[in-house]
Amino acid sequence: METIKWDDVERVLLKSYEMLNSPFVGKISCEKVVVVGDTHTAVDVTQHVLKSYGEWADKIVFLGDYVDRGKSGVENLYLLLSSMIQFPDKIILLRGNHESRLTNEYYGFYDEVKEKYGEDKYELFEMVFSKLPYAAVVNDYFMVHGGIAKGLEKVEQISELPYPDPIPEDPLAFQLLWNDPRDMIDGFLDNVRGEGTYYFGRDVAEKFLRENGLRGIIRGHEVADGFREDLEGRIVTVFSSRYHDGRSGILKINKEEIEKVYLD
Amino acid sequence: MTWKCTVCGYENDEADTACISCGTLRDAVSVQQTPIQQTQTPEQVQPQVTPNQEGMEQNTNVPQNPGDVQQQVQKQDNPVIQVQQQPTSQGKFYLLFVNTPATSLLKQKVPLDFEDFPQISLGRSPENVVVIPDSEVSRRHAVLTLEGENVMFEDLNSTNGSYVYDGKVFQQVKNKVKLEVNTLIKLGNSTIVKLVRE
Repeated sequence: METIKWDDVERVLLKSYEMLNSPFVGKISCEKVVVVGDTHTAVDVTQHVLKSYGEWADKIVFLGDYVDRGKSGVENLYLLLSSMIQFPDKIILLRGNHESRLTNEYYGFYDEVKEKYGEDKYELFEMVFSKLPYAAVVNDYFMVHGGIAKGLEKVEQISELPYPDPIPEDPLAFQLLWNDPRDMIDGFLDNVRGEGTYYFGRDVAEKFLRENGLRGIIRGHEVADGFREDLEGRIVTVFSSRYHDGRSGILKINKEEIEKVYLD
Repeated sequence: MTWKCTVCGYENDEADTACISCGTLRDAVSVQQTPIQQTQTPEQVQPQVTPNQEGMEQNTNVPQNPGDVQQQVQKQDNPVIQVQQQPTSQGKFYLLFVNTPATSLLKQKVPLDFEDFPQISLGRSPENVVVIPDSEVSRRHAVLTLEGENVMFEDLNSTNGSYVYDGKVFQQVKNKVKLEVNTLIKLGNSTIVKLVRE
């Protein structure tokens, strides 16, 4: 794959930085929605989704983790951001835990940028990552990369989070990107991913959904063979990448109907 | 010092009162004519996958043969293995995988057959009664026993330790401890199991 010229990348990054202006997308209602989980440099998945559903969907929500674990992080991100700039009312790009220096320095994206454009160019990527929103509510589904957070009672709280927050350092924001659902436990349990990350259990998930009038949670973050369901299907994990040996899946929502689509 | 099981030939540690490979009681070895369990070997009831681990982003690899694994682990809704009922009205004990580097094992339940395996060893090696596919779990990591109605847990001096959740944090297990039902146990850094009874 040919390296995209830095001038083009820079233009897209600067425009994105200018456009992105809130940590919470807000509450949206529409008929046709496509939800895409972690792509992790799988630019072919992004291309396929945009080509196949760009016309059909009212909204296409990407759940974060666009870079790391591959060599085409810049290309994947460039395509996603360009699409968002072109179709700002259609494309929603949420932030994942891999839109951070914390992970990029260990999982490849920092080195990818360094090799392609030079070390000093990473900062602009980091600035854009820090402005990606944490969550959206679409058709009463809470869409987020990781999950609900200890201390998050109302979705509106997300609008008040410190922003932009590059790591993020705010514990609640951090958890939105890092937490995982486990319906066989209650409460919040220390997650093996590391300090400040939690598993969220059945009771706290049910309470969050009830108190926010939500139907479910759609999130990415964990490897699955396309999908995984928790809480009797009220929490759906979508995984759309290629690196993990399993299948790549996306969710297609048409009014009340949710369809699981495998891309392989 | 080891003793050899006359049923399956496995070399057990002196401390083991029953064969950790086939479950035959040590004292019963001389009179035992046939294996206690003919329908399944320990390998058949165990998840056996290549250990695969990746630090913080630990759950990123599926086992090489996830289908095989799922067939060997008793599923929640569709038990594939006939097991004897625990001699109690309160149901049978299981270990439920709450977190594991082997994605396909998540939410899977492994029955704890104390009647057939008085010492249920947990570890990475295939000879364990319950194989834990996690490179940070020791070859022989811990052992579960039944004392009366109580499930006892003992860490076998594992490299990365065993931890029991006390409601706030995971506390390292130093000696043999009694496990309450629904206790969460962390083995090493990435595997968490829950003791359930149903």
